[in-house]
Order: sequence, then structure tokens, then C-alpha cells
Amino acid sequence: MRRLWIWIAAVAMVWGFSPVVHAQTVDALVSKQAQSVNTQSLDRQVSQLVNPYPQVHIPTVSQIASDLLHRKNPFSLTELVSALTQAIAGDLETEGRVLGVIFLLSVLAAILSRLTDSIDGSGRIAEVSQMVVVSALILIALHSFGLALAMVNQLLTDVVHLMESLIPLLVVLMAGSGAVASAGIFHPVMMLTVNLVAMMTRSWVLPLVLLATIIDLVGHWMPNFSLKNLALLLRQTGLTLLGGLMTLFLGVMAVEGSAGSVADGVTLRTGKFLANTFVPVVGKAFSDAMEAVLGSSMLLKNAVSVVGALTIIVLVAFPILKLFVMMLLYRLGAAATEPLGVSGVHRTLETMATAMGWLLAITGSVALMFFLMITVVVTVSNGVGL
Amino acid sequence: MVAMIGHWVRSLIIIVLLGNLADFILPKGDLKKYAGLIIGLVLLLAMVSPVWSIIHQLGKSRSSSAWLGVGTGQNLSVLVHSEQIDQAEAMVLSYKNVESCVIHAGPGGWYSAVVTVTAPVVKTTLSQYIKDALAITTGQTPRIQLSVQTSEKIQPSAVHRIHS
Repeated sequence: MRRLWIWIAAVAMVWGFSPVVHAQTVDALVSKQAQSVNTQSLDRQVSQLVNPYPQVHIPTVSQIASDLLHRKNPFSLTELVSALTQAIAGDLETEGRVLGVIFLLSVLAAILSRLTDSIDGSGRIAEVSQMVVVSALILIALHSFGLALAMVNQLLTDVVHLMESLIPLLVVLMAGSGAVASAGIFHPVMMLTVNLVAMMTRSWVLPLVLLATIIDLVGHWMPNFSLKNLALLLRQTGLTLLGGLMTLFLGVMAVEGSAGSVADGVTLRTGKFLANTFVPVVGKAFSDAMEAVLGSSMLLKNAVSVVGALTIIVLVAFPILKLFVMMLLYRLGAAATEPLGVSGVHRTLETMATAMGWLLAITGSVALMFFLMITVVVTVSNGVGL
Repeated sequence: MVAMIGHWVRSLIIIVLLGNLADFILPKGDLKKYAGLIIGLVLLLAMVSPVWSIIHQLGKSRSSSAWLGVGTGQNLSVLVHSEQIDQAEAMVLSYKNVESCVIHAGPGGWYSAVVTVTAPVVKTTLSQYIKDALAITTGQTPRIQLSVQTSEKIQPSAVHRIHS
């Protein structure tokens, strides 16, 4: 009789203690874990960064986690598209006004040169009038180029801030979902690459492109002695630097990713095997519980990375569209002023369009790097163990 | 380095502008041809001389300090360490109910952490969490001294004690 009681007590203990997880639904587990991690600072940072675009609403981490769990779409694409169309319309209006001033100037220059041709034969006055008009044009163009440059700089700062608030949370959740080695390896490397890429772009690539553009503009202003090849050299240096950074970055990410995930896979599988085999009665339940907890924190980690990726997309989309609109309008201006026959004007506009194109390329590649970083980190640590 | 390049480009642009002006003002004739030649030569010199001097310097001193400046490497490790501590602080912020966290490094692997919370927390768990965060970022096993404050009443004396 006593033995029977002991047996009943043992079975009750096993029932009561071990499979805590079986009693709960996945929903409850995820929401519990979402509450145990403090994502407020990330959410606050994200809403601060997206503040200039009030039409776009980026959901919080816990919202995304529950949406992903219930197979709902966490982010409305139509909202973003309508905001982007509005932004394009606004950009077209402001930049179109600038283009109108430029058209007016170039028409004046053309009229002046025809008039002076009939007044004096040597063409010196025509040259002077053309120089004056081109100098006004260059002032306008440099102003808008300065605005674009400041925008790109601000974008870089914003994206670095986002990454700095995203990475610690991501690393915590990576460690929580079992990818301990990946978390340890990725953390310093990610911080280093993010800061290196931003620093190099801000203090090397952008200034070199700016200098090259200024030299080109001076060459169009006073064409007798021009330094076109020096401009080419500086621009080439800047863009080669960017290309090298990108190669380095992709290489580092690939190597670190594979190394970390292999180490984690081995550790986790060993842990599960040990729990299954050597813990006598509750071993299976224990390893199942471990898997459920790891899986739910993986869901949360993916929600965090979705927030990061969405924010990067929103932050980058607006400036890139603005740069694209500027480039397009400058190209249009160059095409339209060419038949007027004032060579300095359309060359200046062409140079500005090319410079905007370079800025576009730089912004795009830096944003792509950060985007890839988030996705690589998450996919690498998703493959772990389970 | 970029500032140096900027200086260089600026002086080149000034020379180009002056040369264009001279070219513009001078009357047509022999003088103008020679002036153009001389401006071209000056531009060539101004463009090449910094490059020449850099190559010369590199040839004289063969160490890497010619590129990077003289340093002991200590500043970098201090910077890296403070960055690691900042990251650990940011990771502690993801703990439940934590409002702010300040970590100072002390001698011999000791760290003192001051954490402000909005609701009571279990101190041993939090301290283990901070230890783990520091272990992830610095790669060593730290020993920490934790003091927890609730955000309503922050005693200035306690803060003072930790900082001193």
C-alpha cells in the first residue's frame, strides 16, 4: 500500500512539474516572453526616427510578434506607397521651381549671347555674359547639392542610431534563442562594421565626391584651365573605397555567419541529446520545453529584425526618391537647355545630375549593407539546432 | 587626411580661377601665350608637390606611424572598452522594468552598475543578467557590484558614493 502511494506521488510530481509548456498555448508563451524583454527603448527610437514621416506607422515589436503568429500582415504597404507618392509630388514641386529659375537664366543667356554677337564681333562680351549666368547657375546648383549632401549625412546618422539600438536587443534575443556563439561573435563584428562603414562613408566617400563635383563645376565656369581628370581621380578614389568597404563587409558577414551557426548547432544538438538520453524520466519533456522556449524567443527575435528592416526601408526610401527626382529634373534641364547653344549651362546641369546619381548610389549601397546585415544575422541564427 | 586633400584641392581651384582671370584680362598676343604656359606650369607644380612630399616622407620613415600618426595603441583599447560597456548598458535596458543603467569599470575586473527601475526586481537575477551582458560584450567573466534604485526617489548621496 505504501509503495503504491509513493508511486502515485512520483507520477503526480512528474505531471505537475515537468511539462509546464504543454499546458500553455504558444500564444501565451510568446506574449509572456515579449513582456519579459523590454523593447520600449527600441520602439521609442524607431518612432522618433520615423517622426518626420507622419503618414507612415511602424508597428511595435510585440504587435509584429502577435501578427506574425496569427498570420496577419503587420505592415500596410498601401500606406507607405501613398506616403511615397505624396513625397514625390512635393519634391517635384520644389525642385521644379528651381528648374524653372534655371530655364529662365539659360534663356536669358542665350538671348544675351545672340545680342552681343550682333553688337561686337570679338565675342568677349558674350563670353562674360555666359560666365555670369553660369556662375548664378552654379550657386543654385551647389545650394541644392549641399542640401542633398546634408540629407545623406543625416540619413547615415539615423541609420547608425537605429542599428545601435537594434543590435543589443537582437544579441540578447539571439542568445535567448540558443545562438550563444553567434551572439558572442556577431556583436563586436557588427558594431565595428556598422561604425566603420558609416565613418568611412561620411568622412571619405562623401567629401571626395563633393570635391570632384566642385572641381567639375569650376571647370564649366571657367573652361580655359580645367581640372577634369583630377575630378575623375577623386571620384574614382571615393567610389573604389565604397566598393572595397562593401566587399569587406559581405566577406566578413558570410564567414562569421557560417562559423557562428555551426558552433551553435553543435552545442544545441549536444544539449538536446544529453537531456534526452541521460535525464531518466523527464528528459524528453525537458528537451521539448527547451525547444518551445527557444522557438518562441526566435519569433520575438524575428519580430525585432522585421522592425529594424522596415525602419531602414522607410528611412531610406524618402531620401532616395528625393535624390532620384533631383537627378531626373537635372537631366531634363540638361536635355532642354542643350538646343539653346549656351554650352556652360547644359554641361553644369549634366554634372549636377551625375553627382546626384553618385549620391544615390552611395546611399543605396550603404542602406543595402545595413539591411543585409540584419537579414543575414537573423537567418543565420534561425538555422540553429531546431 | 581628407582635410589635407581639401586644402590641396582648394589651392588648385584658386590657382585655376586666377589663371582664368589673367587669361581673360590679358590682351591677345605673345604675352597671353606665355602667361598660359606659366599658369599651366604652376598648376602642375601645385598638383604634384604634395604627392611628392608624401612619397618622400614614406621613403624616410618606413613604419606605419607615417600613415596613422604616432600612438601607443592605448587610446584604442580604452575606446573599445568604453564601447563594450556602453553596449552592455544598452543590453541591460532590454531587461524588464529597467529605466536606466550606468556601468563603471573598476580595477581588477570589477564593475559597478547603477540601475534605475520603475518596479521592484529580483536583484540576483538582474545581477546575473548584467554579468552575462558584460560577458558577451567584453568576452571576460566580470565581477559586479550592483546597486538598484527605484525611479521615484533617487537619493543623491547613493549616486555620489558610486561615482566617487
